[in-house]
Amino acid sequence: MKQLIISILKPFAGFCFELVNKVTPDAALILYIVVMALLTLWVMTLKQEAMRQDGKGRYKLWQDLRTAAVAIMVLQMIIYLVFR
Amino acid sequence: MGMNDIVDYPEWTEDLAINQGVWAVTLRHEAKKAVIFGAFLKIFIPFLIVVPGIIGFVLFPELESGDDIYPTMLHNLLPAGLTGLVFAGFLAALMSSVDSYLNSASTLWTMDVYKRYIRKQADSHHLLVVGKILTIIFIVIAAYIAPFTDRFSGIFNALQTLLSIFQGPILAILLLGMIWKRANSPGAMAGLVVGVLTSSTLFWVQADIFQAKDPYLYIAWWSFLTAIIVTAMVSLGTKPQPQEKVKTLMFSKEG
Repeated sequence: MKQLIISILKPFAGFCFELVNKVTPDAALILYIVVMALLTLWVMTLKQEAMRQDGKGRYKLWQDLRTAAVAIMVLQMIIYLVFR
Repeated sequence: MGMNDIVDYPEWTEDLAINQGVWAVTLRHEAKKAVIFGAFLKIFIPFLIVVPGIIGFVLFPELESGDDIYPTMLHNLLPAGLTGLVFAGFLAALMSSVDSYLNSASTLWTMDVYKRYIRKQADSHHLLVVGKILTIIFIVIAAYIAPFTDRFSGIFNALQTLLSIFQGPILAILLLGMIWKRANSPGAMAGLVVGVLTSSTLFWVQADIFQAKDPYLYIAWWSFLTAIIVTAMVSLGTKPQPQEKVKTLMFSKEG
């Protein structure tokens, strides 16, 4: 049974390995950054939400939960870029 | 991609030990703040885990196992008093994690298995006793299976390998359940079963299929993909859930 599964999967596994090997480290880094950037953009489209429960009406940018989330994702992107 | 998108995201969304802390707060925006602050702290994990590992690898190249680096560094680099303090902190953190996971496992089995299928009329005192007994059973099981981590190249790899069997399929059904109205219970169950079977099979034949020594990230990715496909197909082939039932469970921009 095990040998049958291996014989079925092995050619496909080899094909995938060759495919993944063609991806350069720089391309992988760009992919990570793009994923994080898209998530950051998505967070920006969410509804504004105050840090404090009493945050009614207009409030400053740094009182918005989205700002904290975006700041953390930007920090993550910087770490990806610096420690490549 | 396996680590970043399949193994790490579920930790924040499915891990009961983390979620229980978030659910303990009474205000939703406080829960969001807790998760965001947790994400901020999590960014520094590589500096706390990987960098000391690299330093230890350079300072003590004769060590055979990566698991020995941390205690060796503590023993050789810190003065006696500080070693004890760091070790106490290490044990405190370890016990905190272990009791969270034991509590989560015990709650899951007590509420979702025992109360639902074995004794539906059980009162809270009875469930508390069952929970305590289950906690002891889990400790015994954990102590029994702990030596099996020697079969892996390090505790971290052992943990990630075991998690990767379930995390891919669970993320798949969670994701589809959140963003796709048509996803339903039979689809989720089929996706979970086939996904776990896929990861278990790949784990079984890993040495002949994957080039990597510890291919848990690839296993997580393929089980995730299989579970997505199976969940979608079975959901489309079965009756949809009533929309009023799924509406509150799905993602919306209104939060």
